[in-house]
Amino acid sequence: MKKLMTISIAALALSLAGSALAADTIKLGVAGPHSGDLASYGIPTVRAAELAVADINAAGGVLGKQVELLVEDDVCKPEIATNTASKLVSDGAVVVLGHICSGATKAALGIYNDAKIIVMSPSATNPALTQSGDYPNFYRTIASDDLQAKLGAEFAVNTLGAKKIAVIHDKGDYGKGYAEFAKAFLEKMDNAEVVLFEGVTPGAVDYSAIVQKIKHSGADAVIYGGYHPEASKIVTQMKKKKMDTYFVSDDGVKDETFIKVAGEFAEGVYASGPMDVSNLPLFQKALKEHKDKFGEDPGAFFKEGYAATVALMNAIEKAGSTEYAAIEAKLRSEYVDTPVGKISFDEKGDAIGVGFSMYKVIDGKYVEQK
Amino acid sequence: MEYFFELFLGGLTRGSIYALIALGYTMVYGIIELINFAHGEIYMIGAFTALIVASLLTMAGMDGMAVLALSMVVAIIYAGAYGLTIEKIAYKPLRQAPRLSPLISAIGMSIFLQNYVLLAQTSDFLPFPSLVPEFSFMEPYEHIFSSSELMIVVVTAVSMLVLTYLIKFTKMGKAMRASAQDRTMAMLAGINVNRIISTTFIIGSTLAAVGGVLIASHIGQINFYIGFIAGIKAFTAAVLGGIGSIPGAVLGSLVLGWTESFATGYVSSDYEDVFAFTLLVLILIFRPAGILGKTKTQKV
Amino acid sequence: MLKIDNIKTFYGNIQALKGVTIEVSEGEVITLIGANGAGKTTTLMSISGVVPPRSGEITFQGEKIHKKSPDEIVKLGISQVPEGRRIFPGLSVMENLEMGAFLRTDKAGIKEDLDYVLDLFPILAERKSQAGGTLSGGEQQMLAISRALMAKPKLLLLDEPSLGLAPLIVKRIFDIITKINQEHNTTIFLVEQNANMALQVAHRGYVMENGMITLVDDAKKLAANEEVKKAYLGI
Repeated sequence: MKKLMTISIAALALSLAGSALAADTIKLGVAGPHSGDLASYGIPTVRAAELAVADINAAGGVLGKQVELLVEDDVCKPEIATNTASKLVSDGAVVVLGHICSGATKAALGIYNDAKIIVMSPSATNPALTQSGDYPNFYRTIASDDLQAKLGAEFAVNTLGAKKIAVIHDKGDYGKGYAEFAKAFLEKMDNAEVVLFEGVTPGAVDYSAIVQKIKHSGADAVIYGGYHPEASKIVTQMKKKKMDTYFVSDDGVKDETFIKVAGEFAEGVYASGPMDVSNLPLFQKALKEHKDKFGEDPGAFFKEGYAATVALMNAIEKAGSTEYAAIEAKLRSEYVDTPVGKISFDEKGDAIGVGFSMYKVIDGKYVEQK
Repeated sequence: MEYFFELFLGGLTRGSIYALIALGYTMVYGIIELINFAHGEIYMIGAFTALIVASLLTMAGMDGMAVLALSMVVAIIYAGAYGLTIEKIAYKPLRQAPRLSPLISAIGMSIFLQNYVLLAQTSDFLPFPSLVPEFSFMEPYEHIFSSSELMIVVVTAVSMLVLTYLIKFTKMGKAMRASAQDRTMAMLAGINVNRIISTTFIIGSTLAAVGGVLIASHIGQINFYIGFIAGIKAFTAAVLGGIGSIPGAVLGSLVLGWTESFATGYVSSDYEDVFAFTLLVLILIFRPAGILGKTKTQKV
Repeated sequence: MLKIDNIKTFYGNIQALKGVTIEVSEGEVITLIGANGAGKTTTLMSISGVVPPRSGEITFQGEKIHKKSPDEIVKLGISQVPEGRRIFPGLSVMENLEMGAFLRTDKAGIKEDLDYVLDLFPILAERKSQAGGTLSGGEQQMLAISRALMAKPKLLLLDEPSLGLAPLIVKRIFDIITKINQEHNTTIFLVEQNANMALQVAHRGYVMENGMITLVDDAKKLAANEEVKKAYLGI
C-alpha cells in the first residue's frame, strides 16, 4: 500500500514536472457540469474535446504547439461557474469550450471577458447570450432558441417574397415563444410588415374566424408557432376557403402526423426542423472515434462540442496567434468543416450554418429546402 | 361588410355544432336535473364510428354522399346505444341518490370513455375524410362559406325542425315534456318515466353524433379528446340559453358561436374564451336562469 | 277490490307507515282522514307504486301490485289525483288530458271520455289550448280530476281535492265526485283534511294517526264519534 502511494506521488510529481516543462502549449479550457445530476450534459463535451484535440495534436497541434485541455467542473451552478472561470483564467486558458448551461455561462462570461478570453458553448441556447450584446466574447455551435423563428421570418420574406405576414400561435410556451421571436425579427426587417399577431385556443371546435381574419388582414404568409393538430386544422380551413397564403411553421409542425392528418391540404406547407447531419463525413468520423474509445454512443451536445473544439483551434491556427482580436476575426471570416456542418460565426456569436433547415411538403413528404 | 358576413356565417356554423351537442345536455338536465358530463364523449364516439365506417365504405369502393349518409346512420345508431348504456350503467342506479353522486358518476364516465377510445384507437390525431363534396352551386361562394359549412348549418336546421316536431306534437314528445315538468305526476299518469329518460338520452346522443360527424368532416381530424372542449362549450351554451330549455340551448349556442366569432374577428382570438365566458357571467348576473330559462321555485 | 295488508313504508330511514291495513270494496267511496303528516299521502303513493312499501302487501282485484311500477298500476285501473293537483304547467289543457290517457290506445274510447270530462267541466273546453300553469286553483283541480278520469280508472285516488279552494268550488268538486261514483260505478278512495265534507260523501271512513289506522267505521258513525268530532270536525 505504502509502495503504491509512493509510486502514485512520484507519478503525480512527474506529470506536474511534465506540464511545467511543456509550458508552451495551447491551453483549451473545458468547463461544464462533470459531476452531479447534470453531468450527462457536460461529460460528452469533455470527451468530444479529448477526441478532437487528440486528432489535432497527432497532426502537429496548433501553431506548432500541442493542445492541452484544462477541464473544470461548474456543476451547472452560476455561483460555482464564476470560480471555475477564475481558475481557468489563472491557469492560462487561451480559449474556453463551455459552459454548458445558459445560466452558468452568463455568470462566467464577464470574468473571461475581463481577461480577453473567447468562450464557445456547445449547448447554451438562451437567445440573450448572443443578441443582447452584453457578451461580446461569446460564441456557440448550437442554434439559439430563436433561430427557428429567424429562419421562418427570413424564409417567408426573403425566399417566398411575403410582404404582409400574419403571426399566429397556440398560446403555449413553445409556440408563443417562436411567434414572438418571429414577430421581433419581422419588425426589424424593413421590407415586411406584421399584419396580425394572435393566439388561438388549442382544441377549439373550428378555426373559421381566425382563418377569415387572416384572409381579411391581407397577409400573404402565415407564420405559425405551435404544434401540428391546430396547424393542420388551420391549414385545412385555409385551403377550403381557397386561400393561397403561404404557411410557414416550426419544428412542432414538421412531424409526419401533420402530413398524415392534413393529407392533401398539407401540400406546400413549410416547416423548419433540425438540419440532418447524419450523412456528414466528419460527423460519422467523430461518432466512430467515440464508439472506438468509449464503447458507446455519445451523449448530448457531443457533436456541438466537437465542432466548437475544431472551430476554436482552426481560428487560432488561421489567426497565427492567440490574440483575442485575431481569433475573433478568423471565427467570423473562416468557414470550417465540423460534425455539425460547414460553419462560421456571425458578429453576435451565433454559428452560421447550424441548426435548422426549412422543409416543404411535396407529394406527402417533407423535403429540405436548400 | 363581407368580412362581417363571413364572421356571421362562421359563428353560425360553430353555433350549430354547439347546438347539436347542447341539446343533449339541456334535455337530460330538463328531465333528471343531471349534467351528463359524458355527453361530449358521445360526440367523439360518433365521430370515431363514422371514421371507421367511412374508411370501410371507401375501401369497398363507395364515395360521395352515400358514404356520408351511411356513416352518419351507423354513427347515430352507435352513439344512441352508447347514450342508452351510459344511462343504464352510470345514472339509473343512482336515481334516488344525492345529486352529487350521479354528477361524479358522469365525470367518471367521461374519463372512462376518453381512455377507452384512447386505448382502443390511438392517442394521435387521425385524419378524417371530407365526406361533404364541394357542391357545384356553392363554387362561387366557397371562399366565404364552404359546402361543408353549409351542410352543417342545413343539417342542424333540419335536426332542430324534426326535434321540435317530435317534442311538440308526438305523444312521446309530450310525455317527455310532462316528465320534465313533473316527474312524479308523469309516473302517476302512467308514463314509464324510465323509458322516457332512456329516450331522452338516445335523442341527445343522436344529435351529438350528427354534430361530431359533421364537424370532423369539416375540420378533417379527430382524436379521443375532441369531445371534452366541445362538450364544455356546448354546456356553457346550454347554461347561457337556460339549462332545461330546448329553444334556449339553440339560442345560447348561436349566441356563443357568434360571440366567439366576432370576438376573434374584431378583437383578438386570444380573447375568444374571455369574451365567451364574460358573456356567460353577465347573462347569469342579470338572468340567473339563462336567456330563456325559467326560474324554478324549489319544490319542498 | 283493493286490499292493503299491513304495509310499512319508509322515506329513507324515516318510517311513514307503520303497518296500515285498509280494504275497499267495488263501487264504494271511502275516506281516509287524519292530521297533517299522519301518512295519508304516503298511503296513496304506496298504492300508486311511487313510494313502494318495504313490507306488507297490496292486492288489487286479486293481483298483487305492491311491487309493480307506477305505469303498470295505472294500466290496471288505479289513477290518482295527487295533492296540490300537479298540473303539467307547460302543457296545454288538452295536452294534460292527453297525458291522462297516455297508456290507452282505444281512440274512440278516449274521445268519449274526453267529451265526458269536458261536459263535466265545461270551463276546460274554453281553456283547451291554454297552458295548464295559467289556470286558477279551482280550474286546475277540475283539470286534475279530468286528467285522472282520462285513464278510465276503476279506482280513483283523490288526495285533498278541497285544499285551498273556495267553499263554493269545494262543494262542486264533491258533487262531481259523488256523480262520478254513481254514474260510472268508479270506486273512490278519498284522502281529506276537510273531514266534515269527506264523511258526508263517503260510505266508510278510516282515521289515521302517526302512520297507523286508529278507527274504521261507517262514515255516518264516524261523523257521530265524539273523539272524531273533537279532533277532526272542530265541533
